[in-house]
Amino acid sequence: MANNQEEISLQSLKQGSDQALQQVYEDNRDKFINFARRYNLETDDIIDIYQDAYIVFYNNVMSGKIESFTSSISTYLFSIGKYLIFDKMKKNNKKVSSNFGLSLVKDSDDLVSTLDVENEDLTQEQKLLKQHFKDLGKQCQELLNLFYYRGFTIKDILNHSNYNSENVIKSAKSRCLKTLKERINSNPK
Amino acid sequence: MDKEQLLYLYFSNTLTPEQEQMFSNLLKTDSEFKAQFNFENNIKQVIKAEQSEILKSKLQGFENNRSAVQHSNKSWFNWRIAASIVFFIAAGWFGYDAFFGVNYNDLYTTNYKNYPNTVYTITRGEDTSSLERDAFVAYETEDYTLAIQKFNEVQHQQPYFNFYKAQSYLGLDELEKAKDLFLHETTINESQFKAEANWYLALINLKQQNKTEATKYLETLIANYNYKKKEAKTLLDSLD
Repeated sequence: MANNQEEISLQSLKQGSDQALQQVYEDNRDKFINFARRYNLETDDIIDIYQDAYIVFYNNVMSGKIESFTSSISTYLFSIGKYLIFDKMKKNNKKVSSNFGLSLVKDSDDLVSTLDVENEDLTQEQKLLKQHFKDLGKQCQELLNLFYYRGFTIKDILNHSNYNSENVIKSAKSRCLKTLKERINSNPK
Repeated sequence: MDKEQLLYLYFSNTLTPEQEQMFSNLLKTDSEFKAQFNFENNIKQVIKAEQSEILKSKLQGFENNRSAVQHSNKSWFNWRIAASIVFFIAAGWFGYDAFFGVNYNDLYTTNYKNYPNTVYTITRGEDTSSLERDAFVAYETEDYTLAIQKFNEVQHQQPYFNFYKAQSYLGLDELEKAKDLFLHETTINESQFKAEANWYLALINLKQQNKTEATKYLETLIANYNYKKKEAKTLLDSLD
């Protein structure tokens, strides 16, 4: 269950602390491997899935989908991991022979269904956008990152950065989007 | 409300239900609005993909560090073994058991795996507030404290609860409580987990370094059941 320590981790993760990132990773790693062994997967595959589950978890913390913990961090990781394992088995056309464990996949798991779990490949349009995004100035990248990835409001960004006012941030954001759009239109690479 | 503001509220997760309605109507009817939404949503996906890549390399870095640490521990460990041998020769046979005795803890760790939920299928459409469902969700996700709490709260106790409570206590390393419940399981005539209970009793006794009791449960298991028969025989051999 959520406890004070985990709430601290949530805040630290959200603030982008690398120390919290590693601490939470290490704290849950062995438990996850032990839990996933029941699916007869190789340890390297389990670690790969653990990392992907961790990324999904982290992205949901960042986007604000997880604002406070209604379950322990390990419960989140296990639920997401189970979904990813199921997905992997499905892709490998493996028969799901047991009736245990896999009952907690996306459709039936309340916890996972509240999260953004899909990690689809980028479309052609998005790949193009990615190239142009990388060419943007650092300030634009940082601003768009705070807004679209970390779920900061304009007010949060004001508190977090050196901008003078909310209006300045709004204008800067509009300018960044406009630049990005213009570059895509004039140079579709 | 202007459209830009509506998009801003959407991406900062702060739309009210009325605004949500307005938002989805505009998506259907206003192609310019839809295009702008798609553009901003694509930016969001692109940044997410990029951040995920960065994160994946960081996590792989953690793993590489672990391997490096394990490797250096291994070198240190070999050195330690060498030093121990020197000490051992010098000190004669003193401490024979400490060096060559059975490592009960290793045997336990190698053989212990919690028992899967084979009795309760958690499927969509069930009463999601059911305590039994909560108990098994907690059990499957190894939140054993919560599992025990929920098992105890269910009004109509099912015969298999005893076994899964025992498993939960074992998962929490509360060996004596687990032992009592497994023992109880072996005395229930119609129990479907008798063989399993014997296996886990053997493991608990192993962990407690009680060779006689562990042997007793392993022999019972081999003589009467098929469950884990092979593993039980291997374990017995290593205890001899």
